[in-house]
Amino acid sequence: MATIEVKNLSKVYGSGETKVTALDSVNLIIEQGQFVAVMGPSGCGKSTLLHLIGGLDRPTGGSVFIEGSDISKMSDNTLTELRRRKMGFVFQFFNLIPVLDAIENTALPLILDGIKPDIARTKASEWLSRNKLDGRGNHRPDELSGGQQQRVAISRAMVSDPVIILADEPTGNLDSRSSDEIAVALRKIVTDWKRTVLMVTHDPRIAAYADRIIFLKDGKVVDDTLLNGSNGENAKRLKEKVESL
Amino acid sequence: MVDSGLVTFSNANGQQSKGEYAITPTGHDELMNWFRMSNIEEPHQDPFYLKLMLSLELDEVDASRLIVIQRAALYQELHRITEQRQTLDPQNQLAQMLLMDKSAMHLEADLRWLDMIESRLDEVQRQPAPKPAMRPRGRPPSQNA
Amino acid sequence: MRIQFLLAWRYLWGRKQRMVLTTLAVVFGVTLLFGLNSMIPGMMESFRHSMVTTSGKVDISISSDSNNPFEQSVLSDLSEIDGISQYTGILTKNVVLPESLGGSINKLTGASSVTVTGVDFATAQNVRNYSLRDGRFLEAGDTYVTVIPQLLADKMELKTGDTFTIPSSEGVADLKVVGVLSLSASAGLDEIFVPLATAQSILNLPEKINTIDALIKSGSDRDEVVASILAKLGPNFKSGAIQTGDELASALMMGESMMWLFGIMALAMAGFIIFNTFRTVVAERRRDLGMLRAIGASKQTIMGLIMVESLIQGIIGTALGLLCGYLFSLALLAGVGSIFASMLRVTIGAPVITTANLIGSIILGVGFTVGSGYFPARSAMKVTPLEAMRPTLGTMEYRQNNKRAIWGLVLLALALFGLLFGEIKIAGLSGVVFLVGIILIAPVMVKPVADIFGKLISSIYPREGKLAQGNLTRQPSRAAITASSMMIGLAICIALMAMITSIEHGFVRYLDKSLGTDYLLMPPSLVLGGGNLGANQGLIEKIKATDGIEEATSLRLASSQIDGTALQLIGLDPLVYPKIAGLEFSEGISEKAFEAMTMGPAIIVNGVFAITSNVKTGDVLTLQSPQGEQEYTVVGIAFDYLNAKIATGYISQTNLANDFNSESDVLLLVNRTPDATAEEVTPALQAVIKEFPTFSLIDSSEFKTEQMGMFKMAMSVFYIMVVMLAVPGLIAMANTMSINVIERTREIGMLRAVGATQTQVKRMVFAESVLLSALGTTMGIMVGLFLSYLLVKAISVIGFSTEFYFPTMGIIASMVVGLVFGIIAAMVPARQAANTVIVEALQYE
Repeated sequence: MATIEVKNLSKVYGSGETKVTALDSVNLIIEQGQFVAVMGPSGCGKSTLLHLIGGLDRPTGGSVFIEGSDISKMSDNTLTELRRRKMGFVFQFFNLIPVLDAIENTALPLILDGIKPDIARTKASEWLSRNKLDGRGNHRPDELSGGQQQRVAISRAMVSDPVIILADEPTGNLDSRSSDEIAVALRKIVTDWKRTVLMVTHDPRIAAYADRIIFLKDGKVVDDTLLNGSNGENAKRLKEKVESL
Repeated sequence: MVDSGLVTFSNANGQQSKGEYAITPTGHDELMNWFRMSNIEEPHQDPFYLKLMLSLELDEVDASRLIVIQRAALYQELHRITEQRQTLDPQNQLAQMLLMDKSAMHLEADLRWLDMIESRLDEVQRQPAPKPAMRPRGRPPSQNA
Repeated sequence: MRIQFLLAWRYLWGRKQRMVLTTLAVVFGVTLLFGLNSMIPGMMESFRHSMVTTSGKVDISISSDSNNPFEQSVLSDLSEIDGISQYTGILTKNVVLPESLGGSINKLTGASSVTVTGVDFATAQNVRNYSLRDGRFLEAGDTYVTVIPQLLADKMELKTGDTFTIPSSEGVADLKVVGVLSLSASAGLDEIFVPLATAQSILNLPEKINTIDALIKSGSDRDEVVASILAKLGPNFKSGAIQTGDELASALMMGESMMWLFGIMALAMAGFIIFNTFRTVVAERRRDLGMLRAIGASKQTIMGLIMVESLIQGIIGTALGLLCGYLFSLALLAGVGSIFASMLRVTIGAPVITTANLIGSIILGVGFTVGSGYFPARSAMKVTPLEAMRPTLGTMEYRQNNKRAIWGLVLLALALFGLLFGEIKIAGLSGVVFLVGIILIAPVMVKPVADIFGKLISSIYPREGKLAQGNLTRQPSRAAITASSMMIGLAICIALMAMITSIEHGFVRYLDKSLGTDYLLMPPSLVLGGGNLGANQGLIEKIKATDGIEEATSLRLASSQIDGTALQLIGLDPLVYPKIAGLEFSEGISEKAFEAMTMGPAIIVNGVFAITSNVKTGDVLTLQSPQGEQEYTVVGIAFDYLNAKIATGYISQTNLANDFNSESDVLLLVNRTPDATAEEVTPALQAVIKEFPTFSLIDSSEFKTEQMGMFKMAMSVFYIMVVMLAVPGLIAMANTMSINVIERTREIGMLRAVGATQTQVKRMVFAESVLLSALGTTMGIMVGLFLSYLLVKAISVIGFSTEFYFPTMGIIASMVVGLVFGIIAAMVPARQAANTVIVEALQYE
């Protein structure tokens, strides 16, 4: 059973003359422990794909299966619970609550799930220190740098032990050094914790950390490249592609 | 270099293999000149560019597929370098890391260039093919491959 | 729930200034509501305490249904009833002790009044136990002797053999103290016992009693006995001691409902401010809320978050409001206490906290706050998780504005139409409708108003004015909301000021008419007719006989009931009274009404009664009297100054004597002959009065001045309320202005980056704020005029006939206040905007 399976997924915005097809019958299978980057020119539908997989938006056609269950048919409350337990989100603008400190921000998903505050806090500070934020737990977001804020956000995404981490342009608001740190942190989530990471980005160097890149154009998958094989394997795959020419 | 008069060779202890080279004043001048020179690589003759341009003329080959394949290859290479770079220790292997950064960034530049081409592929297809006189100097594809 | 509390508290704490300001609005509302309402029961308690007569422990007390005295002969009927072992008739009445007779309003050291109870010495002791500490009880042949309770004896320093002088209808009565009751027998009341005949002559009620006390035979069922007594005596009697002070109680009840209205108005204002704040809070936090939704907060959690936030503010605000309210009523009571003490001879105690008031204030305070948070919370609930992903673009123009405006116009038309009915309930409803209409129409008004005032501002600051104008018209709905908080504040100011002006005009008129005579002979307690002891015919005759007196007339008093509603009856002389004084008629014609009174049973009722019992001219009223039910025809609706607030009917003194057994003059109006001077007449009258210490001689012009002073003082309470209602408006305005600035930090930074100077940015914010307040003021004046018209109408419907005076001063004041508010509200935000650091602003998310 694939972690994420996308079948004939379509999303159309508006109707009539203003109709915009953001996704056009997309099919995908993403296995557990894969680090997948979604790339493509702006307006290609890459964010829409992420939103639909994350259950943040409803498709107009097709379905999304998370660990075998179809989320496009779930009620809002079930979907919310699924997001809380199985997914972690990392946003471009970090989206930390300004009035909570780093530990509280990190512990949010656990507290939302009704877990006792002291347990939640312990888990939160564990994740903060894994992301090299020891001693920053009591800082509020405005006292942290962009890179630090994003690492708090990654800690928050991981604290509830999710299956999938969804990251929407996680480095879009950061300089290249902080971007590398974030990419390394995401890489570790896959390598050390065997989670699945789906990341939308337009930065080639960040995308290169992934195991697989999906290229979208005009709402369709135009290429799906595995990066993590040995040199020989990669060459073989490339050769297959060349033959399709 | 001895012939060019840039260095002199002296074999003081008589052994053939182990002698000492000394730089001559002309040689020193030449070295300094080398340091002073900026290293701007000439725009290398890009084989991919040539394939692409030809594919536009040929109905058999799809230009956008060419881009996709080239991009996949570049990303695979970039991924390999990124992985290698991660195994290095920034405390004492910084020199190697910087060299890898160069390769990575060149690859990145190529990828961005591909994106640029992809986004303007339709336009360039509509324009008349470049005249032979305008073609960048380069050997025919058969010799290049 | 933990998460909601954590987040709510942190958000509130993170924006302390705003929290304080919004909570303050709730505090204001609850203060008014709670404070005013603890004052009223405080006053009621005091009145009751000094008014209510309590009989001792007897099995059954029977009194007349209308609390009036009845014939002593009724007693004989009881002898036939089985089940009664003993019975006695008594005549009891509260008599106010004037200061000249040792009266003191201090309850601990003196007595302001005593209850004079006339008992039949032969039967009284059979029914009640009078345990004496000293001396003897009343005996056969006693006249003008008394038995007094120990407590009173101590306070007045009296002992057996001393003389206790009390006011009487003949002037004064000197009573010889023959016995002192032990503490247990008197139950702490200042009740003195005199022979029944003596009481009847002191109270000018010959052959009358007002209570029958009876003991039942052992083994008889009390209810059965009571039923058979009532059946025997007829429908005009009731079981229970006589009650006084009913009329006043109903006046105070009316005051109480007014106070509730005020408090609720203030709370509605607070609710509006909270609604406004939470709307902006939700708009500000869309991104946070979206993120919470994305990471797994359910819709209910989000809604709970906002609701908990309003709940916290509601609880804090209400708690503080209760405290402030108590202090407020303490201060008010201290202020009015001295007036009451001198006018009514009643001490006003501490504010009384009734459970109803406490619970009501808490429910309304917290309820309004949470209720106002509800709609913003609902819109917060609808924030989608997608909002977390991308910065939202500025909100779009509202297309439904025009549709809303049409609805608004329809509502305004309905409201104006509602006025035509002249029915108070419909008028009140149309007030609400008008307000809603204005709020709906407001967004459409933004553009024209901004255009007009924008031109003015542009002529001073051309560039900044234009920008400010653009900012407003870009989001008309928000501008309208901001301005409407100001609108409500100003509207209330204008309405109240118009009301005060109108009342003041009316007040002067009645005062002149009701107190048109040269002299007043007033009882010690002006309003509490029930507590006053009247004078018999002797007084008025003596006054008429005095040199230099042209005419004198009196008012007499009794009480009655119509269908269980207490009604105070004033007996007047329909021939003389209209000549020297007069009633203010709102229905009927003065001459005809008084003429009708001379002819037969006719009654003029005042507005309070007419309104509460829905009575019109020509109706026939059935009044409860000791002689049975009496039918009176209503010949007019009118009132005099002193009895405007209590349900009152005016009948002729002849009818009052025949039907209600009252022949004592309670208040006298006296006119000098044109050639007599005050220097001659005043001393002569004072000499007459000496024999009647209950009365004090008052020069009408002095009294009028005094009354005007009191009126002004009462009105100053209104002015305080006006301020208390207007201040939250300012707070709300400043609040939204600074939120506006925070929201546009990036835009302001951009302006600064492209070369706007600090002064220009400041001017822009000021211009915007002034434009907003111009909008608010325009709307406020419209609503204010409508409301003031309504209020004045409402008052005249109650019977206090007033004319509508166009509140020119109120409007001018509002315009000035509006402008000043606009500038003050912009001060902090403008500085904030001007000090925006360009780089930070451009990064501001």
